[in-house]
Amino acid sequence: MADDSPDNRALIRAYLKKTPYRLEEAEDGQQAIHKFIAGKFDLVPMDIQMPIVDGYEATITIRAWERANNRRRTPILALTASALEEAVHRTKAAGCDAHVTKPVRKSTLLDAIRNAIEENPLDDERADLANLTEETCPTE
Amino acid sequence: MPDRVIVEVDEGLSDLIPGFLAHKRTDVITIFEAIARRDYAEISRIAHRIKGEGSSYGFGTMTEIGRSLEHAVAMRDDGAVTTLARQLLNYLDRLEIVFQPSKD
Repeated sequence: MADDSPDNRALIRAYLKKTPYRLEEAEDGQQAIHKFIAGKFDLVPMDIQMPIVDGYEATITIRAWERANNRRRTPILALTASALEEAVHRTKAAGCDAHVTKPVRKSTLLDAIRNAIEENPLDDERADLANLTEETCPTE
Repeated sequence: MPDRVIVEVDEGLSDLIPGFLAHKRTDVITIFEAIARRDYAEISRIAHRIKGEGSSYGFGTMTEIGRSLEHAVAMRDDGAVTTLARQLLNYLDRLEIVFQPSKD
């Protein structure tokens, strides 16, 4: 996830505790781009208002990199405190797949993650890992 | 002694609350400093963050103050920004937290 607020990152970390999901954190859009290119992710929760590179720019860059490298499209979930239609439209135009408005409840976030991942199934290796973790570590 | 404001918070967040509230006090100080140098971008950034974080942690009033702050700074209304920053500080001073089992 990319979010410049330590409190938001801590909150999402707490929400995902005891779920099968593993979280990698970035403090701004630039870090998010670097980590995305270096790693392998099933979903990117992306804050929009961030320093250095904002969420719009980071999403556009990630989409361009995926196209240039023939990579599958990883779901990007925009997390923003703005519920305005214009903001939602702009996140979609940048390449986000869904939009969650902050403040966000745990159940809302987990539903959004589940929906995004269901629409973009995990590859076999990670699906096995997720199933294994889900059995041993049930969601709250 | 001012009236207490009692807020019910998800017990799953109990470890995070002291740090979160300390950061909000720092945010108030940063807002006062930013008003003095008319740094509206900084106030707007903090207001937006407070708006997004407050209710997630269980503090709906904080989200409302953040929303009003965001509006006040957009209007370049220094008086309202100052009043709202004081309001946030007052809210933090009066907070009494009761942890409740998770609802979701």
